[in-house]
Amino acid sequence: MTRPGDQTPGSSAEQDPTGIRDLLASLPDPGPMPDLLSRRIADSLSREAAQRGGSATPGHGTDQAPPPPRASTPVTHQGSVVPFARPDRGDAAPGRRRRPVLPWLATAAAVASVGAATGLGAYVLSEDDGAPMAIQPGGTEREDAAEAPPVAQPNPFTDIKVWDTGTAYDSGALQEQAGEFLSASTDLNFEEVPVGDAWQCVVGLPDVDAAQVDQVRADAITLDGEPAQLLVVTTTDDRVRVWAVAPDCSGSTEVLEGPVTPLP
Amino acid sequence: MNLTEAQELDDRQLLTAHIDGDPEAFGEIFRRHKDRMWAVALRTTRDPEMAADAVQDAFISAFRRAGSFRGDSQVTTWLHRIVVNACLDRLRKVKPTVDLDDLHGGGPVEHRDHHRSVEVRLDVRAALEQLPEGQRMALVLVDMHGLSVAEAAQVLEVAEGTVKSRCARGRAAMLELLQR
Repeated sequence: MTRPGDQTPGSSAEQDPTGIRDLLASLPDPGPMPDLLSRRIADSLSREAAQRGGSATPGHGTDQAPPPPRASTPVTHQGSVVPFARPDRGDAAPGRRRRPVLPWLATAAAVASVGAATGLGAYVLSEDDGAPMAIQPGGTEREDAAEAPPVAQPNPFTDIKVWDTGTAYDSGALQEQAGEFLSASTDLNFEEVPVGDAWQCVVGLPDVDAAQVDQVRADAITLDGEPAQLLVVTTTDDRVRVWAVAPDCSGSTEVLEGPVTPLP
Repeated sequence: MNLTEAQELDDRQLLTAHIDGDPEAFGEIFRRHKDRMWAVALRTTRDPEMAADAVQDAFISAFRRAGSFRGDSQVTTWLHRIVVNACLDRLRKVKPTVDLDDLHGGGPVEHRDHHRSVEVRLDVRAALEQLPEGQRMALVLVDMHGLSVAEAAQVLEVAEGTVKSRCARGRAAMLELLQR
């Protein structure tokens, strides 16, 4: 790979009377990949490696087509989910409620750290005996994954973002407030909130096919003064629906309000 | 293979090891190329969040699609292609590009009236953003990231001549924009 200015005389690089090439080459480099993003990708690749189980990838040397972007069966979430704009991983801000982290997420996080530190081939170690098990809930069961809890996973390409704004919602104004949330969400700072919690709530929603979910925007809110979670779910048919649900979906998703369509 | 052994292999050997099931090999590929791929994604999308998502999807895709690497280009060129495609897919989702024709060697820079009306001197980045996608990508890869024309052609999956002409047209268009 060459660098700007390295190309041989006579190439297009040497035939730039405008000087634009030099101007572009002089722009500052964006710098290294942010650590948080690097960890996030390493985490995902660790899960890929764990899911692959160290077996050889088929199709070596062939024109094997990439896997379809949408699987009918939810698989381990690898996609664009965790916002990385918040650099710290500390506790939530004072007064903010920290939702419980699902056990498998905690395990995954631990493995991710191992993966980031030692390479990407880390396996999940069970808390019981240290034997490897797959983070593959909802997918094909493996022998060594027998004790993994059956937690459905988002599609790898599902776009999930989670906030923890603590905004006070009124049940009678869910449409309007959800619309305002969507409009403002791009400007909101992200909180370090486990995505799995939101997804757990989404898969428990009535009339929602998890395999058809394209985008999730979730926010920890209060609804009529009580802790709740806002879920804005966009499905592949471009339908956008909003629910307010109870914050803990580990057993089931308790719908408090909705679905409604957010007002623009 | 341990980390030290992985570091001694070249990219192609690492990819082969990964395909053969080595759990460390792709991690070394990621470590080697993450900064460069991040820069490509950031310069392609001009949006850190979108770039982050795209580069993550790209590395996961590369992990899964390693078997499709035929070895007729460098691994890094192959990675560039995956990253660029991931970025362009996302950009097109956000707003359908109006200059897709340029991907096939189409016309000159598109002059956008709403940009024209802004009476400020455009900086280089803003000028770059005004270019049609094909020209912009050619300049990002060749002028900013130092890929050869041949490498850029492989990444963009077009003929070398197309890359050359896009570079030339893109530079001329940028000059015009910057001189306004």
